[in-house]
Amino acid sequence: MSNQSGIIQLTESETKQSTQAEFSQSLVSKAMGRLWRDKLTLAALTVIVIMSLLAIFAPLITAYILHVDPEATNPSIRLQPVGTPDHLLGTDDLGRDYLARLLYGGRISLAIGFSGSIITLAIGILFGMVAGYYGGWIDDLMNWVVTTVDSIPTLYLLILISALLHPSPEALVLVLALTGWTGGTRLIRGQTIALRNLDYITSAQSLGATPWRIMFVHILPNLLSVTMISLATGIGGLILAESSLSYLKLGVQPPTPTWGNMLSNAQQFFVRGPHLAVISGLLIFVTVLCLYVIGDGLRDAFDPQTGD
Amino acid sequence: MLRYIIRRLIQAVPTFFGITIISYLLMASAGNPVQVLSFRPDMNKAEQDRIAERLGVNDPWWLQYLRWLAGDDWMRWDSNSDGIADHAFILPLRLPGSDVNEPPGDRKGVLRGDFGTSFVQKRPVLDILFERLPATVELSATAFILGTAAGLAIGVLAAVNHRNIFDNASRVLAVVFNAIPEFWLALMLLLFFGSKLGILPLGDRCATTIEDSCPPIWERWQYMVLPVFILSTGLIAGYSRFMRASMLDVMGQDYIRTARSKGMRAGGIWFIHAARNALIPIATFLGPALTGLLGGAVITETIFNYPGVGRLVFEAATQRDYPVVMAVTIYAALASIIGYLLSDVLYALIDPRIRFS
Repeated sequence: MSNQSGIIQLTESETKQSTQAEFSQSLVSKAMGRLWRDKLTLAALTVIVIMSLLAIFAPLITAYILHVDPEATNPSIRLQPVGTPDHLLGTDDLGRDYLARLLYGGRISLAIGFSGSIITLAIGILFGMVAGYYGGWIDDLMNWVVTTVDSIPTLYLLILISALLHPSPEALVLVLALTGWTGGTRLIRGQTIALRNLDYITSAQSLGATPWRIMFVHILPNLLSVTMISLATGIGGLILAESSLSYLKLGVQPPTPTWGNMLSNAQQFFVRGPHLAVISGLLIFVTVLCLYVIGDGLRDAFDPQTGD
Repeated sequence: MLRYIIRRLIQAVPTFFGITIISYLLMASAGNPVQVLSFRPDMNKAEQDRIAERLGVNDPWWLQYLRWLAGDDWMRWDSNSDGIADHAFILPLRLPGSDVNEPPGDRKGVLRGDFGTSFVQKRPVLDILFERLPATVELSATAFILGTAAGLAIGVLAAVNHRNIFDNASRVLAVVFNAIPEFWLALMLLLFFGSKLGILPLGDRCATTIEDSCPPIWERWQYMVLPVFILSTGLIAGYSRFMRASMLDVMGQDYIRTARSKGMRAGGIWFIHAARNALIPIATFLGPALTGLLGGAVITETIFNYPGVGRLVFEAATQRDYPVVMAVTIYAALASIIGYLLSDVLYALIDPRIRFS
């Protein structure tokens, strides 16, 4: 598309048509090409992949490489500093190996982020597409629900639900997802409305395609970039939300480690073991930062206005 | 214009009712408040049942919701002032198994500003809320003004220095402010400025005195530095990014080129021609910004021990003080409804292209 626009000025509708004509392959492969040249995004992606692998293989790593048990407490070696022999990142207030705790904490934190974000997105895609495609009273109803939920600050809702209902970690994921679905829904709805009036949808309709087929076969693939961007930023947002809840002692409860409750717990030992708070806080920060950078990078890569 | 405002106001009504339903259902699903209400573990079953019956917690949920929303002084009332109800509507005049009429209903309901009595503090919820409100307002308003000003300034400068070191630094700053756990940043700053350097207080709204009040804001500004900064990080990040994008958008337009070709000074173009138009889409950010501030206040007020509404939410939720929880939720929702309303009206006011149909 960009090589054409250098030669002739295309009008708005012509641009859209040409995008549709040569769509899929060219847009995605161009985006991938741009992404490949965006070193910052690639670096962030690498960090996230490494973190995820470390989290997935945490039991193997702690058992066969570190030779420690993340649950083994030892009062005689409490709050050892970074670099202690046998304990690379020191020990926590109960004498547990901190690196092992962080690996296990990462499992839960990343799992909450990933699964919560996927649920959020699934709800967003379903509700957003239905509202955007059908319009009318369905759209009005959806709008009402979305504005209503949006007008209560998310943290208020999270605090209320977790303080009043004491959810388990699995339920907490659901709660986080349910309080965050409105953003995705609004985004998908807007995109669907923009796509709904394009010619290829009209032609699919005139060929007798059912609404569900149009939504899932013709509209959904075009939402790929939006969903990938909101997946990346959504995971980051949820990890942050979990840590905020943990700070208020309303998140996942110890002894199950998450980066959030480890950080929150580390506050009490700030003077004697500052490494606890610094490392766990930094891990959350770096992870969320990388996810946001990936989100930004994807946005630039998929934006047809970005030049090559 | 007036018609547009009225229409937006009418649209806010269903949203308000939606919020009352959500907060009501939340509270209802949290369980029976009878045990919370009276801290008496030895209370026997019959007594519990009687309190439950009187509180109406055994009634169907829609009836409870209606009582909470509109009160019960019109459901059971006393027309001859003997302290015993003699007329009833919807509700029964007597409890089952009792041969005495109930006292008349005394609740006015949320719609008439009666949020009930706090379970824990045993005094009107609204009094508690109004006690906490000044602290939150001063904190949020300061953070809002400073955060918005800083964010907009950074956004404009970033766009002017497009692809320059300042531009990149501002983008990094925005992402960092978004990605950093607020309470962690607050802790680090407290540790550094409060504990290490000892130049800023470690929290609270003002120095503790015998009197229960604080001196005027300019005499205790040092207590506000850190909380205001923490609360405004989100605003700075958001506004600087939006303003940068909006400025870049405007700077690419023809009339800017015209101004340039007329030989206008660069500073004049940026600040007189471009920035003013770039501000228009920023108006839509007002609503979400207000909601974000309210949410952020919970963490900030908790960590800095600031006696505001944000901390009240947390305290009330952990103490299961339902009436306070509900009141605070509705207060927050009302504030953000007004925020969204203002941002729509503002947008319509400053952008002449908006049609009021």
